[in-house]
Parts: sequence; C-alpha cells; structure tokens
Amino acid sequence: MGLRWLKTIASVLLHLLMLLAVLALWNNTAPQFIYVAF
Amino acid sequence: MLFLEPWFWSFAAVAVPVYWLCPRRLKLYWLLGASAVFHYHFAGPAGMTPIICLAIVTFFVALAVSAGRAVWLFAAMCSTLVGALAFYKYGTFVAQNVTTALAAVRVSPPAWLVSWRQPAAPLGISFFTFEFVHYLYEVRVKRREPIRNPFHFAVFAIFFPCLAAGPIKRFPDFVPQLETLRNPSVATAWPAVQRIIRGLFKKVCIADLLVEYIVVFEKLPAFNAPIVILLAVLQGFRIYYDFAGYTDIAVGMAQLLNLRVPENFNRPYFATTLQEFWRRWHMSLSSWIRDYIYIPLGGNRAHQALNLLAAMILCGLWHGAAWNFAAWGVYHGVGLVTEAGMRRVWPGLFGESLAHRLVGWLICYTYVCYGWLIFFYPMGTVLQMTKGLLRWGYVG
Repeated sequence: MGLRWLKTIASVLLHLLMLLAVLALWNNTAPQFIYVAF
Repeated sequence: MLFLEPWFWSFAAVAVPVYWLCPRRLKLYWLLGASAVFHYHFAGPAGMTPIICLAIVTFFVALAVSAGRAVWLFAAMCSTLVGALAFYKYGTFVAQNVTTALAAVRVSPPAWLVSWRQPAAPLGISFFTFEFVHYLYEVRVKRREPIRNPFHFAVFAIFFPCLAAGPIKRFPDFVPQLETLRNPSVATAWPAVQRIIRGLFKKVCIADLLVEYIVVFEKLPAFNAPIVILLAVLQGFRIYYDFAGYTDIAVGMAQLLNLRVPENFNRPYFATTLQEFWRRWHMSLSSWIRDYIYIPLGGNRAHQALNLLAAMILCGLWHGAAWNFAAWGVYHGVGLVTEAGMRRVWPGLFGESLAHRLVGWLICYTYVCYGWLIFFYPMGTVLQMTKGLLRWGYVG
C-alpha cells in the first residue's frame, strides 16, 4: 500500500516537472510536427 | 503548430469537459461538432471542402458496394481517392519533373505546364485517403458491414485528435466505440493526462531542442565521419521524439474522451532486424501498407522482392513529393529484400542468442540511421555526407 502511494506521488512529481520544463521551453515559433506536413 | 498552439489548448479546455458533462445521447454530436470546429480552424473552408466531398461520396459508395450493386464503384472510388491525393500532393512535383525532362530533350514544355500551381494540399489528406481506402476495402473485399449511421462515419472521418497526422484508425475497432460513448474513469483519465504531458515533453524538450543542435552541425563547412554519424543519430531521435510526441498527445486526448485509437510506436530503435523495425515504427502506417498494398500485391506468396520494393517505394513517396523520399523508400525496400533473402539462405544468422541480437541491432540501427540522412537531405548533400564518412580527421 505504502509503496503504491510512493509510486503515485513520484509519478505526479515527475509529470509536474515535465510540465514545468515544457512551459519553460515553450516556443511560439517552434517547428511544426514533422508528420503534420505529410 | 497544431497541438502546440494556445488555440488548441483553449479548444481542448472547452471541448473535453463539455463532452464529459454532455448526456450520453448527445456526446456523439458534441464530438462531431468539436471535430468540425477543429477541422475548420486548422484547415479552413478550402481545406475542409475536398475532404467533406470525398467523405460523403465514400459513405454512399460503401453502402452501394455492400449492397452488391455496382461493384465497379469500389475501384472508381479508390481511384478517385488516390487521384485526389496524387493531385494535391504530387501535381507540382510531376509538372516540374516533366518540364525538366522536356527541357533536357530540347522540347519546349507547354505554358500551362510551366505555370502549373495547384492549391495547397488539405490538412491531413494523406491520412484521410488511407482511412477511406481502408474502409472501402474492408467493406468490399472482407465483406464487413458498412457504417450506416452518417454521424458515426463523420466522427470516424474527422475525429479531432487524429485528424492531422493519425494514428491511422481502423473502422472495425473505432466505430463500435461510438455506440456506447461514456466518460473515462479516473483510472483512465489520469494516464491520459500523463501521456499528453509526456507527448509535450518529447516534442518541446527533446525533439525541438535536438533541432537546435542539428542546425549547428548542418552549417559546418564540410562533413567528417563523427559529424555525419552524429547528424544521423540526432535526426533519428528528432523524428522519433517529434512523431512519438505527436502520437502521445493524440492518443492521450482520445483516451480523455474514453476512445481507443491505434498506437504508432513500440520502441523501434530496439529492433534487431529491419522487418522488426517496420513492425515497431509508425505501426498504423506500416500495418496499412502491409494490409492494403503488400498483401494485395501477393505478399510472401509470389515475387516477394518486387512486392516489398513496390510497397516501400509507395511508403517513401507517401511521405512527400520529393526524390529523397522515393530514394528512402527504395533504400528500405532493398534492405528488407536483402534481409528476407539472407533469412532464407542463412537462417542461422538470425538466431535468438544475445550475440546474434546485439550484432543484429547494431546493423539494423546503423542502416536505419543512414536512412534518416536520405530522408532529411537532398541527394547531393547525402553524397557529400557519405564521402565525409570516409574522413575521420578535423575539417575546418
């Protein structure tokens, strides 16, 4: 039970960090997704 | 930029919660309305019109074909769909190449050919074409029951998470889900949110960052082996993280609506053979090519090498109207044919031991990475890079 909660908290933190990184690196002139052009 | 535009996230912030709040009988219509708004925003009326026309005709043709009437309609409709794709994607390419060829033999090309400029290709036309051809083929050849509800067909056609670049859906898997639209449970919604975040991370923090480095290396005055190897590896990761990021957002968004769509990747760079690579890379496209080009051509039963080559050249050209895409298709076709031949002559080479798999992985990964150079660069540059592979020293 304890381990499950620990994994959940770690996953939430990891995804929050990813989201922060995305927001920090957000670039309005980023290249288009490659496959959208196809 | 599609999934990276603030408009998309504002749209999703309204479309998804309202979908959840909708009574069950209205969910389908909300989904269709939201998809239409998405389509209109990104494709505009000029991009929507050809797709809507093709979708309406496909819907009725499938009904006629399934009723056993006018079977020739199937061939005519498939030709129309492929013809529309060819017109929008390859018109200018063909016109330019014919003009060049005529000029080479000192024949002056007609004025209309020189000035040929077709309208821009509608958003996602390659993906629409594949889904419609798949639909017609399944109804005609595999005798599947066609979609009789036009709203179901419309959602299948323009479902917004997959509209621009797939994953290419299969109607027998997707449409039955529309019969019983429900809200996702927390156990489904949270992984969906995680997946969307991971998708954004792959695109913004990995793929786009790799582009910054790639641009620097591309600008070097000459290539040597370490630079070319680095470029090939970086381009391989860039295209993977770019498209896997897109796919994660699309699949995650569909999951938020409690709908399943196909996966596109299964750790492709861990493949130990080219055949395995193509079973793991852009799976919704590679399985489409297998089912609707390779197998109808004869598959493994007759002239396998020619079938493989034809399927891979078409796969290459599907990516765009340029010679480097065709060359990339030929390159992978030749690789697959060679591998199939070796498998027949020396089956022992493809053993399951660790050593076999390690060597297999190294060969496969090297082959795929060199392929990305052909995919991304014009032939002249690839030639320069290939010559650069023979140079290990410093180039200033």
